[in-house]
Amino acid sequence: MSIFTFSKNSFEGQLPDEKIVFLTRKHWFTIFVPLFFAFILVFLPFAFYFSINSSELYNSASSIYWFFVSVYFLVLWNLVFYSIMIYLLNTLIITDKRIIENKQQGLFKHTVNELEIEKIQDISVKVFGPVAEFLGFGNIEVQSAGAKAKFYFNRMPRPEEIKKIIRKQ
Amino acid sequence: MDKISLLIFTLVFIVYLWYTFATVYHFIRFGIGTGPKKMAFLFLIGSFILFFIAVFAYSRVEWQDILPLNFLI
Repeated sequence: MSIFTFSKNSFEGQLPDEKIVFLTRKHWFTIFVPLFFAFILVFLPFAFYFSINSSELYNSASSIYWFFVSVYFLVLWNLVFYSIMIYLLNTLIITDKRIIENKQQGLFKHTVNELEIEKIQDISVKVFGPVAEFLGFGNIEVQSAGAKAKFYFNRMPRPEEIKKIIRKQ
Repeated sequence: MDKISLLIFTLVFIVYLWYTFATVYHFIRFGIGTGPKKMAFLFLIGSFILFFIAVFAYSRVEWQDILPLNFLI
């Protein structure tokens, strides 16, 4: 049961003397939109039921209708948790040595980008639109002296604070 | 016809089981912290409940009342 209780954050590939300074995921608004649509879709079968329950077709096929509804909810459940999985597994980790971005792009498809702190040359924060401004999320662009010149971290919460944390390392 | 429906059910069950395993695997294997593990548990419980509800609903289908679909039986 220890996986359900508090545990220190650790990640695969962490160096023995490496300490996690900051761990974050994309802003909650990223997962809010698909969850909101899924919430609307939950009521769809019941709305459809109220429009057809007095018809002869429903009276003769009600059992198969509810079977399809149960399959519909099963598929919806899986789609919701697929979205949650993508959201939870996309992380930005700032350690005392590196910045590591884990990008989960689907089932059995993910990329890991690493950037050494000492190779960072410039950090920019970009906030686009009123929603991003009011909810407090934005994009962080990191200019690096490494092989890959630029790193983009999109829809990050409190990007100015993340920028300060990176600067402190 | 019973064998065909049993075969279809088995195939669907295997595909569904694989997808459920893959999702739980990703939560546990790649998740950092306790949040993904809790989500994996919640997902697994919900999947089993909804699956058994679907199986129950399937067992309650009255195929003889669905005249246009009789050719599927």
